[in-house]
Amino acid sequence: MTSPNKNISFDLNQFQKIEDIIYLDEPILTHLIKNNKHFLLYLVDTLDNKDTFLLLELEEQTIFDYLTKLITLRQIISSNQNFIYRIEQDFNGNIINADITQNSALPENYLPTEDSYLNYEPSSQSYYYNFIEEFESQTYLRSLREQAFYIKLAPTNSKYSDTIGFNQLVSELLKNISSSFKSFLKADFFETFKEKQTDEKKLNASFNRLSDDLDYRMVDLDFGSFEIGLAVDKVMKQSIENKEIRDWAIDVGYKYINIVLDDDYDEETVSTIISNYSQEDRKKIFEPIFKITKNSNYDFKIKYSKNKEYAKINIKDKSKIERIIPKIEIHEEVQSKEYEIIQVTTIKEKDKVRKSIKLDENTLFESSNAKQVILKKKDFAKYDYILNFDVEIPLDISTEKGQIVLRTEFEGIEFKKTLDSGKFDEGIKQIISSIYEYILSKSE
Amino acid sequence: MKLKFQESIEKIKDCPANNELGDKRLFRCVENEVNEKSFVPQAVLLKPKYQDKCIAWGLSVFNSFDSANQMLKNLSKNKRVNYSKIAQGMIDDSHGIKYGGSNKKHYRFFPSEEFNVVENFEIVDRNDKSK
Repeated sequence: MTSPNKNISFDLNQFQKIEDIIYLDEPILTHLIKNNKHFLLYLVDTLDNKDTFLLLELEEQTIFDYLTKLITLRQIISSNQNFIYRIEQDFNGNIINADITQNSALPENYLPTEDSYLNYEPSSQSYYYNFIEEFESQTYLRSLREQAFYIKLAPTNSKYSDTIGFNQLVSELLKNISSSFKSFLKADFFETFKEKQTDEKKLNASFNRLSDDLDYRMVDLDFGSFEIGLAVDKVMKQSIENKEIRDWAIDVGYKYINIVLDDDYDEETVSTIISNYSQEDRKKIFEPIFKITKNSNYDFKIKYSKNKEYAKINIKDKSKIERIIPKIEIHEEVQSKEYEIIQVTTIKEKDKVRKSIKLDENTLFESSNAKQVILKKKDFAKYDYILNFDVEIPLDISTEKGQIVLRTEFEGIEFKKTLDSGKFDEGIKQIISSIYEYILSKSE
Repeated sequence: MKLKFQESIEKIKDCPANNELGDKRLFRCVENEVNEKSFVPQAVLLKPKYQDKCIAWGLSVFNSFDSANQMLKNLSKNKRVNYSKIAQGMIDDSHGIKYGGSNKKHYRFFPSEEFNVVENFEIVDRNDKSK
């Protein structure tokens, strides 16, 4: 295989063959090694009596990048800065010509397509097996990192250099961001799918099933001033069967970055926010974020990829904050509770005068000895007293000399029962019974 | 089972080197249409330098349309001239010997003497790949 007649004496037998990377009835692309240097031998043309190859030296890592679809074969050849050998070989394997060229002089006919990626799947006997196995195990994290965005929380005071307090970070700053993100996910899900699924319970159930998959993945971390890289996980979201929900689940992570972690809150962003989310949702989403941006002790910054510059999330026009977060109060629904009496035994020091004992907050009296509950239609139904109208009757419960006192007024009439503390249920039943009898007698 | 080019193949020690049993759908890059010529190992017949290489007597086939297509995109423009179509066929054990290589997507197929390529392979495009 030596060149018999030209200036260059070339012997491909001096190279050790690692593997045919592309084989199509004959070797098309072969990995060779010589003196610990790596080469690719690429068959680019076959004429009547000869094959033409390109031989180029490159780093082994470049070959690995090619085998894992990070770069194309065309890029490898076009960007190679070494001299490239153009070798002509006859069909018996003799080299009949060899000359030196470089990437810029190669004719288009010698090049593969722009899209010349290769997804190599090595068997266990392949030279590349271990490398590609290891690479694929890291691919998930790497792919997340490539499209991660970064947030940074930095103290404005230099007292502790640029370090940030742990408790403040966890219990205030990160908690606020997390709370805002969770509120956004829910609000946007309901806004997007409320027309398609009008049953709120089913919509809630769908959202709860999704919630684990919606979370950002933490893919990078730096300390001092606190920096964290977060990524939308597209891979795991592929398990969401409904395409429409899957598309939303992928998009919503980016939407949060664009809408809530916007670095300047321009007029367009503010208008989008106000038109797309209810006042109540906006309060839940944006208030935690504005608490951070308004805190003069910290700078809250964002950058949209690792290599970009950080920009401070800054809302200069305070009127925008007032437009986004209206002054409303969120009323929590008062749920009726059921109570039961328990007996408490405690010990006190003989000589100490102690007038109170501490009870668990879930017990009836908490730290007081009086409580008011509301008797409703369902409380009557519990004892088979069926009312055909709704009632809300405040019932005062208190203790007096070891006894329990139940007292209420209904339509100006007082109803009162005093019982031993162990007979609480009986007392409730008696007072409901008395009220029911009054109602019946009135209707007759 | 007698293979096509049996006489040349049996001169090479341990050739074919392996045999993966079972039915397998395989894809072959062809010039234009499915005919006997497109299922002949042209390189080994044309180039003596490959005649003692066992795998050169087998046909290069791929385990999916995408693998075959990806391989074509990696050919130089000059070499691509000979491969413009992709054909697929379901190969069973009676059709010949087949086995995978270092790249699991690439198979060598040594057809039996009786194997009729026209009956067993058809041209497909991307939309037909699930056939």
